[in-house]
Parts: sequence; C-alpha cells; structure tokens
Amino acid sequence: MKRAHRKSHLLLWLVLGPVMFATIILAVLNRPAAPVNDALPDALIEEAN
Amino acid sequence: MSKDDFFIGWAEPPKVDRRFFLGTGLGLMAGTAATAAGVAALQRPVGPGDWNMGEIREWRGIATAEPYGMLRTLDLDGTPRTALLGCQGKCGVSAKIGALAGKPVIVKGSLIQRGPHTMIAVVDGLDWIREDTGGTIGDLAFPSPEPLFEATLNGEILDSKCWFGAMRPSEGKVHKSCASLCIRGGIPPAFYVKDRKDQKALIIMTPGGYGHNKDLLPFVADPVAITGQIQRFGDLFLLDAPVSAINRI
Amino acid sequence: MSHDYKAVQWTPFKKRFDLWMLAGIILYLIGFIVVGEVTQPPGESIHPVQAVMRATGTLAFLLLTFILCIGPLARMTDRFKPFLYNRRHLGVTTFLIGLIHAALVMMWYHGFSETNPFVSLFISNPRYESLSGFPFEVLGFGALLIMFLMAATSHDFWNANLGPGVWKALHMGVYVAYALLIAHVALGAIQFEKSPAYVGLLVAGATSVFALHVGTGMMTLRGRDRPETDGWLKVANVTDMEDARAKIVRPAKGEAIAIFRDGDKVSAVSNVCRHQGGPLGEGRIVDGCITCPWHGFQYRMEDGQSPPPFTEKIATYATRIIDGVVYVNPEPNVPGTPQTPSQIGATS
Repeated sequence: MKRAHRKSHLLLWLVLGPVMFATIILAVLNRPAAPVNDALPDALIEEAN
Repeated sequence: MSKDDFFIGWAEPPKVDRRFFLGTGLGLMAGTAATAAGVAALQRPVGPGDWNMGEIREWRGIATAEPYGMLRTLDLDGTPRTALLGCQGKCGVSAKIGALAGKPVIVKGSLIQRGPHTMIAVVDGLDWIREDTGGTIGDLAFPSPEPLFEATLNGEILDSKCWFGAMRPSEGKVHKSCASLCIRGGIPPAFYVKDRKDQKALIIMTPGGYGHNKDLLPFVADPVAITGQIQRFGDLFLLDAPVSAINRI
Repeated sequence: MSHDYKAVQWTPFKKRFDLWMLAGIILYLIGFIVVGEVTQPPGESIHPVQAVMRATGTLAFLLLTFILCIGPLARMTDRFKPFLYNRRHLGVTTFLIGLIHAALVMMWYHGFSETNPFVSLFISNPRYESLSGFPFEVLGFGALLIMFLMAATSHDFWNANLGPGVWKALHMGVYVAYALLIAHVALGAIQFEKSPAYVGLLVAGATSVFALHVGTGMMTLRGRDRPETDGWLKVANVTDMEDARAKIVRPAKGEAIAIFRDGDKVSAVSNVCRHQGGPLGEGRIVDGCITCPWHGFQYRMEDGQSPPPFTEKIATYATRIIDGVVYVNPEPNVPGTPQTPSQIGATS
C-alpha cells in the first residue's frame, strides 16, 4: 500500500472507530423499555405463559 | 522460513501451510457451528399462530365494515365467533363489503389463527364475498359495543394480521415497517398488552366506533401508554381511544 | 503480470478455499435455522422466511468482520497471508449473502402492499429524529450499496483500468460500510432482542476490526528516520540480510523501498506491487523473481519488470555496499530501468 493510503487508512479508522463505539453505547443505553403493566384487568386476560 | 514455506496462491501450497490450513479450516468450522447455535438459541420467543395459506374454504355469516371488515360466524360448537377480514397482502377489505354489510354472506379465503383470534385472508378478485340467499341472521347480528371500564394500559400497537400468525415474530422494532404498512393499508390495528406475570391480551383499536388509519402510524411498534374505554364487542375486546390519548413511554 | 481478464483466475488453492468457504456458509445457515427452530418454546416457531432473513443477516455481519480482520492479521503474521489471497471471493460472497437478507426484508416486510417497497423503506418508519426508534433498515441499505460497488469493481479489470491508487481508495469504502452495518445492528436487532450476548458479539466484532486496523496502521507509520550518508540511506549489515528476503526502508519522501538479497546479489525496488499495492518487501525471491506475498505477482530483480509475457514495471533503486553495510539511494529510477545489483564480497 502506498504511504498516502496507509495514512488515510489510519485516519479513516480514527474517525470511524469512535463513531462506531458511540453508536453502540447510545443504542444500548436507549433500548426501549418493555411496556409492561403491573396487572391486567381480569376480563382481558386470555394468553398466559 | 525455508523457500518451500512461502505461500504463493498460484502454486501448490507448501506442506507446512497445508497442515495449518487444515487446522485453521477445522477450527473455523467448529467456531462457525458454535456461533450459529449460540446466536440462534438466544432469539426471543416469537409467539404462536399460523396462516394455513393452502387451505381455501368458505365461511357463512354476517359481515360488517365498521369499525373494520369482520365476519360473525358460528363456531363448530355453535357459539358465535368474530373473524377479522383482510386481503392476501397488507390491506383491509372493509371498503369492498359495501351493501352486503349486515346481510348473510359467504366469504372465501384462508384462516390465520392464534388462540381464540382469527382472521380470514380473503381470496383475490371479486368473488371473495357473495350474498348467502338462503342464510338467516339469527344470533349472528353484530351487537353494539358494550362499555366495560376505563383504563390506562402500557403496550405496543401492532397489526392484527401478522400477530395472528402471518409473521413470526410480529412485534417490536424489527417488524415496525411491516406493521405500519399493514395498518396504513387497512388491516385492523391492535394493542398488545402484557403484565408482570407474563399474561397477555390483544385489544382491537378504534376511535369512537370507526377504524383507525394513518393517524396511528407515528406510534406503531413503539412502547406506548393509552388511556381509553375497554368495550366488549361480541367475543372481541375493543379499546376506544383517540390518537391524542396515546403517549410514548 | 498482465493477463487476460477471465472472471476468476482459478488455481487449485482457490478451489479448495472456496469449497471450505461454501461448506462453512451452509453449516452456519442450516445450524442457525435448525437450532432457532428447536430452541423456541413449545407451540412457537420462527417463520421460515424470517429465519432465513436472520440467518443471512447475522452471517453477513460475522463474515464482514472476519474479512476486515484478515488484512491486519496478514501484516502481523505470515500465516494469514493465504487468506488475503482469496479475500475477494469472501467479499463478493458476503455481499451476496447480505443481498439475500435485504431482498427478503424488502419482499417480506416492505412488500405485499400498494406502497412501493423502496418508498416504504424510507417512509414506513419516519422516526429519523429518534435514536432507539431510528429507521435502522436505511443504514443496512447504505452498507449494502457500498458493498455492491466493491463487488462490482472487485475484478482486476477495474483495478488495472482505474489504477491501483483510485481502486484502493474506492475499496476503503468498505470500512464505511462496516460502520454503517454496526449502526444497523445496534439500532435494529439490539433494540429488539434481549440477550446481552448480542451486544457482546457486536462489541467484540467492532473492537477486533478497529484495534487491528489502528494497531497495524500505527506500526507501519513508525520508523521512518534513517541515518543518511551523502543522500544514501543505511539499510542493514550484509550479514543481517537473509537470502531471498528483503529489508524495507521508508525514506522521508516517496514510497517505501524493498531491498532484496538473492545469493550474493543485492537489489532494490519499490515496495509497492503494481497489482493492488501489496508489500513486495514482505515477499521473497522465487525462481529469481521478486514475488508479491499478496497475489504472487512477479518482478525481475535487475530491472523491476515482470517476466514476459507480462508487462508490469516497478521502480528500481541504486544500491551499494561499503564495509559490509548495505545502502540504498532513495531517488527512484523510472520503473523498469535496469540497475546493476551490488555484489556481496566485491570491493567497491
């Protein structure tokens, strides 16, 4: 690989790396909470595990 | 490294490399199998339900177009059952029921079923519904919705067709685009609720006795809380709530 | 070495490599679908279309992670160089597996409606402003588009006609595709599945690729300052130069130089192979020719030309040996210029 390429290669990774990890961290922190109810009205219940 | 050890793709690989390749190859295979098993085994339960696409049959009953296309028909044991109606793809059929609403009809399609929930995916073309000239209304007339109670429930808005068994999984973010397309097309939207004991219920959504449509789309598949009135509609439950009563959690 | 542009230059090694690759892919897909089926609770089963969708999606991620690790690993150990040799087949195969995944998604989730599937892809989930609600499918579409460009131009025809420089720059787009793929998984499957193992796998993949590339990148950028004697760079003591191998020297200006020893002769050429820019100095002399470690392209030591009928040429450099120490003149000759090798043992 030419030197110019090695340099831009490294630079590209120094940009992409933090972007990648930031995305993962933010995505994991923002996972949607399961919309659970404390109790369902008895009339509604039909499918129990 | 002796001269014989140097790997050149167009030449025969040297002996040392061959042993290494065999080892690496077998190792990679074992890793591949283990990863496949691990990744596959940890998937969330996707729910029951099935669409028996191959079996086209006819149902006799009474049709309605409001709030959605439905057919009230007799179960094998003689009790009235409500089946939702949908097309073969991602669309509702309520607009095509027209003058046949409230009359005895014969509907042709295939059954999508999850527990007590059923949808008839009607056949393409015009002959999916016809008047049942010999039929009587009897017990099959659609009742008026009967108000039960007001409630605020947490859950997820999804499309009834996929949840009944057209797709598995049929909920959550991965299925969001599909659920949006279904609801946009007129498939009855439903509110899927669970509690801490993992008991579940599915409630068909309606604002004031009519069908929801595009107004619901921004909330599909997101965790939301809805305040509204639970109504009994024959063997179905309805959640009567305007879009303004929906809040993202 | 020019050659006719055949679809694939088949060799026994490539055939064996591809057979192993195919076996691995089939093993993964079948293993995933079968285990996914039997591990669901009683009465529940993943729909077959969605099972294939998930099997191909996860496999494409794992394969691209592996492919992107090959390059740096091959710089660190010779053992991995053979993987480089057939990386292209692995890349095109990965694109095809990703394409199957995408085609199933477009058909299954975005099809069967009056809305055009490609319109649906961009509008069905409108929450571009949200993180957890972000339309992650668009990110995967972008990654696949880049991989399509890579796959379409992966052939040596494009390498030769675009020039190795432009080609290499274009193919660095695959790193952007990988970052998009990471975001696609993080904002997609990770928002849905509950097992922390999926997060672990994603982090492990991203960390391996990032650490290996930055690590080797730092490694090769270092060590440039060499003592100069009236413009000549010191290479090494003759006794430290292994037969049929090279030392690499990186002058302050210009490209790296590979200085080879073949018996009692020492010659220097550009370190950059004309084919894909492979590091010639990590290759060796085979049958009197400098042989690139990446794809086996060959050049004569004395003039940097590929032996007939091939026509590639690389720059040669003047060398000299004084008191048992090899020096190289960092000014390159025009590619293909004959340059008399320095003779070990001769007085100069």
